[in-house]
Amino acid sequence: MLVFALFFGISLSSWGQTQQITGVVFDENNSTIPGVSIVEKGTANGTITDINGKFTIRVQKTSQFLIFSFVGFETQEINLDEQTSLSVKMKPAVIGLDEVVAIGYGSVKKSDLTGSVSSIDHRDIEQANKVDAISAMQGQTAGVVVQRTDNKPGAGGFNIRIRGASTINSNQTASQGGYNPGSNPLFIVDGVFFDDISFLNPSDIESMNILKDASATAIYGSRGSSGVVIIETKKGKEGRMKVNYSNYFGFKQAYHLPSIQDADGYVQYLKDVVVGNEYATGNLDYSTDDVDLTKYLSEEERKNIADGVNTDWVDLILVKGFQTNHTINLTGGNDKTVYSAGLAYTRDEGTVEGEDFSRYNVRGNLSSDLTDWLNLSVSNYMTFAIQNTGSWEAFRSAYRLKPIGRAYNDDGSLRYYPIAKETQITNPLFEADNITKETKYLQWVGDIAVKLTPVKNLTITSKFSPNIKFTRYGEYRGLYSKSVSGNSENRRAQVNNYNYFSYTWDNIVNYKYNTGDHAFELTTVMSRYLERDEEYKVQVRNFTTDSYLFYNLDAGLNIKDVSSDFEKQTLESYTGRINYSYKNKYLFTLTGRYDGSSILADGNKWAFFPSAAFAWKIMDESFMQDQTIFSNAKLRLSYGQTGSNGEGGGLGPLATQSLLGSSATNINGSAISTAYVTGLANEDLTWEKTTEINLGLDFGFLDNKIFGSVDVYNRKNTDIIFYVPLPTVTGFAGTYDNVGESTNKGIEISLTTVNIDKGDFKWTTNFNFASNKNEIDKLYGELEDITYSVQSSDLIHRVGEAIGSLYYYEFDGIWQLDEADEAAVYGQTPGQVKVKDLNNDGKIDPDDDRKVIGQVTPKWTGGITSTMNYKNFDFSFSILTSQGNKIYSSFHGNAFSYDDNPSRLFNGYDVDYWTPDNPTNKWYQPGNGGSYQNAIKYRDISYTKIGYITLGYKLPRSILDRLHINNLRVYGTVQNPFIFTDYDGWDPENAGRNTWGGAFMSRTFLAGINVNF
Amino acid sequence: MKYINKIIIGLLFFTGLSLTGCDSFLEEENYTSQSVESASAETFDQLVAYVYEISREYTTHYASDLYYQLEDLGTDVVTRNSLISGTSDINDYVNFHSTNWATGVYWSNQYEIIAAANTAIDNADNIEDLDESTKAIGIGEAKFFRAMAYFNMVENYGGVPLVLNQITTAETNYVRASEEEVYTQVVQDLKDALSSVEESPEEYGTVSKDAVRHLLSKVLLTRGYKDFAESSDFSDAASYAETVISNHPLESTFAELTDYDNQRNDEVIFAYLFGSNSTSRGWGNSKHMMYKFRFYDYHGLSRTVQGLGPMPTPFYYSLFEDDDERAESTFSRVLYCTEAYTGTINGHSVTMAVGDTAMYFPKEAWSEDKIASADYVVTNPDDYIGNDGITDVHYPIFNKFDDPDIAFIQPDQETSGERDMVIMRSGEAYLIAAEAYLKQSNATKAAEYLTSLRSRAGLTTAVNASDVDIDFILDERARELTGEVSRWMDLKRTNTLIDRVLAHNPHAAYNNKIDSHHLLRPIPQDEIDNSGGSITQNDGY
Repeated sequence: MLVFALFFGISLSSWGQTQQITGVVFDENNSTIPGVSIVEKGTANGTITDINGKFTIRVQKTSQFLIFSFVGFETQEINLDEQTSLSVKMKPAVIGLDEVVAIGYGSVKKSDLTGSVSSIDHRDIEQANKVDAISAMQGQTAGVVVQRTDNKPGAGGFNIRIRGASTINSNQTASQGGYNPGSNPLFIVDGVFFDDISFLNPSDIESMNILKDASATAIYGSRGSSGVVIIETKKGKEGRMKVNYSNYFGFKQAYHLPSIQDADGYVQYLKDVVVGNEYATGNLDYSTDDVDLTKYLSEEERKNIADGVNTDWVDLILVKGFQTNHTINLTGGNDKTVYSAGLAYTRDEGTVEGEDFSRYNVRGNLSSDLTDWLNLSVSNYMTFAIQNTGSWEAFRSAYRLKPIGRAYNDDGSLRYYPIAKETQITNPLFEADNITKETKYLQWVGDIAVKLTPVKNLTITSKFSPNIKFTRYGEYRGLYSKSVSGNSENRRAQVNNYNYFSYTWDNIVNYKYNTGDHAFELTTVMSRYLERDEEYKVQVRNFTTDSYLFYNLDAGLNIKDVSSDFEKQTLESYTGRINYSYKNKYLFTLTGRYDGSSILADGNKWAFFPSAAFAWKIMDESFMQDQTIFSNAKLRLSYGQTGSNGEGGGLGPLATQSLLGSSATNINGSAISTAYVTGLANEDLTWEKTTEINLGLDFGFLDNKIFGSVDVYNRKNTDIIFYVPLPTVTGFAGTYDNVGESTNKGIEISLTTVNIDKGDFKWTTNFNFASNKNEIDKLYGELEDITYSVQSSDLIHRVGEAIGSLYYYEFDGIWQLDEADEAAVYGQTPGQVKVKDLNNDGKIDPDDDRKVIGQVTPKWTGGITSTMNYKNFDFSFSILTSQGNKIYSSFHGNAFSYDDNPSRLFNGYDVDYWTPDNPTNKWYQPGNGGSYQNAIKYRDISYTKIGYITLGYKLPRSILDRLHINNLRVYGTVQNPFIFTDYDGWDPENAGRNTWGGAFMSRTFLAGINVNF
Repeated sequence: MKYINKIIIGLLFFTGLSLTGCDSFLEEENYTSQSVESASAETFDQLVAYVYEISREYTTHYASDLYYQLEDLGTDVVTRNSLISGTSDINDYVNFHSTNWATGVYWSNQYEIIAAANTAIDNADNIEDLDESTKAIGIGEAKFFRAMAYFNMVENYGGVPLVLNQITTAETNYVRASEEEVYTQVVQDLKDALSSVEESPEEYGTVSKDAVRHLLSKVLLTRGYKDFAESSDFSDAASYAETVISNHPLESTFAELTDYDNQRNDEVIFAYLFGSNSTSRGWGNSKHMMYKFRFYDYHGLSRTVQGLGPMPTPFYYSLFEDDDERAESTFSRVLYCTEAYTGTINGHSVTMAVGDTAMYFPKEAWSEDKIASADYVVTNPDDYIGNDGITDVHYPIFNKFDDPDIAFIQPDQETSGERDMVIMRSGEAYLIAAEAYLKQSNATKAAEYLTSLRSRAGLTTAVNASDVDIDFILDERARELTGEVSRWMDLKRTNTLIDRVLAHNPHAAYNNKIDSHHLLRPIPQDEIDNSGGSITQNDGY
């Protein structure tokens, strides 16, 4: 009785001792957050914030603390300290362990991941503030190497390598971009497969998750062997409508320009060339005093020199490009329906007139629970883009033309041929008005998904996602473009139309089951993918006027090319995945995918790809509870297989069959149809397989002031699909076959440090580092070597060496005057490039004296992103680095063009070159490079670039409240401001690309605002 | 709705979707080619026509930007277009390796022609409804091209693998046949062709018996020099050539022969056709671009036609006597203005109108004073190679193959030439006959043929039998045929390559590296590698 009374009394007294606490919860941008969970510490009493981020909770008067938690934010305890009205600011969770990571046909909390997955969220992307989605990835995560192959605005030229190259190929993977072996990853945007994501406005991206190891990518089986990038665009969120508007404006400026000769330098260079030509013939007595310029320069050129003509062609073609972006996004909804919609406009101009890119995005998605068991969602993403690449000649011509030529006539009009005798290279200032190269595309990506929840924990989803792209390329070359050269018969109009349709149809069953310590999640997927391409091309020449461009093809007199093409391929797959966890400490993932591809030979179209992964949350073990060093520790181990159907090696539809192609010839004056065998059939061609083991450790120290992860992996590729060359005695160059093996081994480290977190000042830094070692283990038959060339780089596939190994003679300086006798043994003269006689047999020959002199893929890459916040100011920068690779540099390859023909000598590289009076080893004598001069043109292309430097300021609340704005930030940024490199050509990232179509590396100065209503 | 109903609907929905899966989804769809199995009689015609097409294409160029490297370059009559310094592989025979690009491309080109011929021949028996005469003619035509390709191969590379059937599986183990075996096959194919093709086919541009006879006469003439020659080779060569001569009379003047408006004349035995239809023209005839320097860099001359690279040697120009009419119909010593120019030339101001002389190449050297007073650029015979302030080489450009309506086109783009490319004409048959008679020690008969051919060129003095030797015939071949037939094969056949190159090719003479191993080209390294070493290299490479 007493006990009862006592209990009752206490209860009563407790009830009497409660109080009501109200408050509002904000995020770091001072926007309110709905759905934040608030719990009275030590009790089960709790509530959540409403749509406006407000909450009311009744707590014991004795309670000291409230715990606030929300996905994506740090959980925090607030000391009530006798307050009854709170304004709580949530800090974003830096470590993001509670963040949800997309893993393909589902998602898990980051803390429950078993595979190797890197995430880039919208904050990183917004901070990077790039024009395109791929640039936003650059330098952000370990083991994802992004090479920009094209500096023209809007050009989608990128090579992205996740954990190195696996497949052996010699095809260029990005148009004209310089060689980079391997293939790009598969992109999946909202569940739809893509090869290229340049249609995306980066501001529309919610997250990018990069699946790296085979257990993570196994869910994509056949398409996952080069890694998978899962991109989610922004979706609706419950709450009142939020409006986000952001913009920026700025201009772009070319920099890191290689030095070339001015007029005086050119004349000296010409004389040195003539001397070099004499040295080449062994006449070492000849000097610049003996040079008779009248033999090499026309009367006009000599007059120009006397008149002091000194034209800086590069300077003449440079302009400042304008860049802007406006993005507006709306999002909101209630507990049944959420929506999101947006509009964006982007304009990006190049640094040479005529280069520009405009992109318009419209998107919208809606998801609604029609009943408690049926959800319907619809989404649309539409992009309309116009890219003008401008002239492909102007850039190259500016470096070729002599500075002693004139850009303008006396009356101020442009001169077409700057020097009458130079009829090959025309004035680049004509190009902008005479060249149109315009690509327009309209792309629509959408999906309709129906999700059924027939019983609790079971969902059945059917999702149909079409991707439709219509592209028109129109080109017109006017009378005074370089290629038409004033000859109206060569005026050229070209129109290419492509239409592309693909769909992905996924049927997904997901079942979750929890009992005590056991948690299961089962996912099965049936997926179909179809891709269909049509292409139509027309080229007409010989117009009487430039006024039609390519809009009046029938006005041309010469129909040059009419062609069309069709391609289709399909994939079908059946996938299952089981996630099992015991006590939420031991996590297991088993995945199996059975995949069929149309482009493989009949009977070999199907293959099965299994994987397994295990993770151990060491931190949750009882023995870890007493230590204070670690704040997080998780071990991950995975093993898996993925495949490739050979597209990376160049296999396309119908390529496994022997068919009859058609062409035509002229017999008796008539067009006669002809037929030829297209190739050798390989009826045994089957899947290329990748097997990978990954060991990873996620860690946190010192209360997560330092945290990150380390992954080591070993990836083995077998049955590589390769176009195996045959003796052409067969009449064929080769056939596709499964041959060869290669291995990638590497380590990836990501690290985040909270350097300072005191009061108003916070400084955090993210580091990432990756090193990959690639090796070919086996080629076909007994073969040890395959030599090949891509864009002037001589390469070798050699067992024991990396894919993409450069294979040439080893540079050993310049033959000096006192070495003339030794040089003569090799048939060389002083001034020429000396290479090592590796076997010391007194001659240089390709079999014995060439060796692997480097690799085109970087040995290691890394990045740093650092952010400082002080009160309302934020300051951030990023650095990315790529080290240890070389390539045959196009700039250096064209450094001394026509130095065997002084009458035609193009302008040259202003370098400390060898002359009889300047016995350097840096560069050879002009006009006397010798047979092995290419050895000096393989250049180290290691670089460190600053990705951006940004300073932002958030307007204080007091002002914002008056304006009824949640948040307003103004900022200024410099994109790609600096580069640190020994490479003195244009951009080391694409040093191997052809100078035809080249563009300058540039930095962009931008200012903009972000506003939330 | 009851709970259980939802489950049933859900499961039915999903099952329905799954069941639609079947293998037909992964079948390939093809609108771009036909299957070999569906070949019809018409397909046979197309397979044969393809042999014509590919043989024509690989004659007009080897690959884009690669033309005629193995025909005239590195001989006494044609050299590279650059200063006499430095080195080159094909022309100067320096650092000529198995990795040389042109010899690799040429090799695979010829084997593609052979494969196309083999495909036509092998499929003839598999195609139903094919009438016997079509089949016989088609096989004969295919064998003609196969023989021509093997003849090119054996002369350039020596004994090569003999592939006589369509290849359908990836094999690599090929071995080289002996030169003699290749010749036996070539002669056999030509004899088969001779018995099956028509005497005078209705369709111009198809293989006639005379085309076969002409090639056979050249093959036999070539084999006649070899140690495995048959005793009748020279006499048979002469006899086939004589049949061709009797069926194909010479045009009355050389100017008429090369006249653009008289392309299909009686003298022509076999020609590749291009025409104006861009679909059937292929790459286009490229010979109008042969042997032209950058004349358009000079004042008054516009970019009317591009040149291809190599240039005739000064020796070549020295071969023509004053009244040899072939000179004027082969190359131009005067270039006329195609655009007006006012400015400075030879140190004094000039005004040039369209049609005025812009450049002149006198046959005999002009004095410095005479040049200085000219209102146009003058280049003496000794100055064809050397910097003049504008170009480093300058010489009378070829006009023999001119195709005046074709626009200036860069060498890596389709040349679009529409003119017929004459591959065989009876002018050469006269020279084959003369050489075959000379080799039978019948200089008198040889002199007769030479006299006839020369008199057509305006050289009416009869050739004296005692003057006729191989050098005489080779000089005559140079005057008559340069640019039309492979000079390199002529010199190799007559065992004069090394001597004549060292004597007359200025760049090769400067380097002085040619020796007897250069009488064969290197076997492409890729072929050796890709055959696992079963194809072996020629000596010296």
